[in-house]
Amino acid sequence: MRTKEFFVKSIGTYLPDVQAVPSGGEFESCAVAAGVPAADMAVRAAREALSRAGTGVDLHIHTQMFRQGSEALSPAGYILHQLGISGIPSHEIAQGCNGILAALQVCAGLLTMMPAAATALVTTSLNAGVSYLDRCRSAGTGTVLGDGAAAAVLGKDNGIIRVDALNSVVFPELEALHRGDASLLETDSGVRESVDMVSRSQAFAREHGWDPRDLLEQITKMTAETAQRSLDEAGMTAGDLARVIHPNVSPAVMEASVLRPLNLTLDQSAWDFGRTVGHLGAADYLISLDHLLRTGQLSPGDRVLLIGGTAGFTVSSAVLTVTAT
Amino acid sequence: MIPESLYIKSVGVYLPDERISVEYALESGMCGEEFRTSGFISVPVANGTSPLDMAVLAARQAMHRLAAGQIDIDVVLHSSVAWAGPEGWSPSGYVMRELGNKPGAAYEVYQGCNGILSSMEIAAGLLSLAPPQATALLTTAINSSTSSADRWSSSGSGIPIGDAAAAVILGKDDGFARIDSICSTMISELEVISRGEGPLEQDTANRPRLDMAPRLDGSETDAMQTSIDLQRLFTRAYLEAMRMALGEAGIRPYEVDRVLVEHVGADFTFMFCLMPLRLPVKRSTVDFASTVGHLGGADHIASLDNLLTTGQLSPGDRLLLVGGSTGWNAASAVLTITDTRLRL
Repeated sequence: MRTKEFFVKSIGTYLPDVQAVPSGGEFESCAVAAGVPAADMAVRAAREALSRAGTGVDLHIHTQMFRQGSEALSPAGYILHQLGISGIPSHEIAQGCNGILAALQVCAGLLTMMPAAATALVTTSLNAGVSYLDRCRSAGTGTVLGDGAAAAVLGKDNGIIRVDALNSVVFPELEALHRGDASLLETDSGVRESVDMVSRSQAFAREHGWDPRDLLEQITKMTAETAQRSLDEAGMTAGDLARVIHPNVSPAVMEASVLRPLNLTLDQSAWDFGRTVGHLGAADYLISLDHLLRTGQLSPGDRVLLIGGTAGFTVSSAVLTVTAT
Repeated sequence: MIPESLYIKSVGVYLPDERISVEYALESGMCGEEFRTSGFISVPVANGTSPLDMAVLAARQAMHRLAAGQIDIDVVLHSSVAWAGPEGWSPSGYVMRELGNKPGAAYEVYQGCNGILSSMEIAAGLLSLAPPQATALLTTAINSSTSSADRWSSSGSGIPIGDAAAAVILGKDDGFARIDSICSTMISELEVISRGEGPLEQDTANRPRLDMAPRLDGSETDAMQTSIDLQRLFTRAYLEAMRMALGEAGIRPYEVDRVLVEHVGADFTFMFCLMPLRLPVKRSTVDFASTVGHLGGADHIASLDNLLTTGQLSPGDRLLLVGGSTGWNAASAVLTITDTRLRL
């Protein structure tokens, strides 16, 4: 979708200290939050984003890669309460590790029905240090989960980044890639088993007769199509991009599905940083963007593509223009 | 929010035929004595159908009722209440695949029993940026025979959960009901009410069960004072949502022909929604609600479906939808019936 005037006014992050990951493959280390609950991490990131934006907010969207906390917890309500905000629309949505891109889409839509000065807060967080998640298996082969949170304040008048285009495409034929071969009721044991995406994707490939190479080719096709859609809507080509930000997953996947098809190189991605913090659920995009901005790796006028694939199978993409640093 | 042009093109509901009567549940000790005066009569029971498969059945009915027959959907929003399937997986992707839909966009929504109203608000925004012929499918389902919910205790004292699924197809060009306004507010001071006190992250071996009415530690508070404060905050939440929806639709409470409140019993319906609007109980759907129980996020659509299929709606009728859920989230919408010639 082509956005009307839509800007990121500020980004806030919560990134705990990193620890070495001995069996992390290509990952050098990952951020570890120890005992901080996911919702509290999101509160810390939101405080930073709100203080940097210096505004109040009229709308809130929260997203998490995994639902963390009790069944009756409303993380969205909890976060607002901790921030001392009440009486605004606040929704929790999910789209796996593309949740924050989905949150941008939802805000882009809702803000069109709100006054010109209206602002929105988006939040996301992940604490993978819990028994039902496994840092090395819950996000698939070769990916190490880290802990982190990110937030952004969005608006229609101005900001540090303009959002030019946003797209999400679900390719339903790969729906069971993140479910495996179990029927839905079979997965309802009441026991909170560890999320094992490595086994689920293998079971899916076996059950549906997918050769891993064909699967990667299919994912590459879906990714290229969704990237192209946002590039077209932003009126540009991949050659105009300064950087591409992909969730922090195995660089082999990133290269095959995004970089090579778009004729981009690994040093145009945020992998140098990503390999030190791990895959932070839906927080990767904003934390990497914040890192690039803060380390002077982005300048006004730079175009950035955000893209990645997740459960659904959904590919989401965004094209941004840096307007100020 | 005031959508520029947003219509309900169709609705679908899956209510299993099997029912448990509250009388039988009382006799056999399945539920507590509080159900004796709850006003609820029976609830549908889905047993071995997964919540997502129920959602697909509701979506198929909504598709079937479209005069144009099955259409491709551009946006799917599925809202889950309690367990819906393996963590890290996409329920909305499942709905899309089961329907044989072309690639579109899919989002999960978590807003407890306000899931459909929340999805309606989000869809209003997403469709505002989409082409004129774009459509959205909203689905929700609950099966309290699953491990994370308990039919007789999960939604609070004296409110039984009925198993059901609902689906709504939205479009911008036309439909049987126009959405005049769709509003929500998060009264975050009430956040602790459904979470309960204690650690945020309950890292237990078993998946936590849904419990909307946990015991709050009253040792440091005066119980009656707490109760009065709570009632004031709940009343404010519902009132605020209804006032926004009515105000944005430009109508007065007496112009509302029917009020569709989540199925939480006649007492709560009267106290939080009808009394503040000075509307009589007969404008609500409590009679129907008492025969099916609280259907998670499916209440409003099941009530709407019941009014439609029993011929109780006419073009021009104004409907007020209102609900509350964990957060504390209050949501409300005003609809105008434009055409009742739906293929039922």
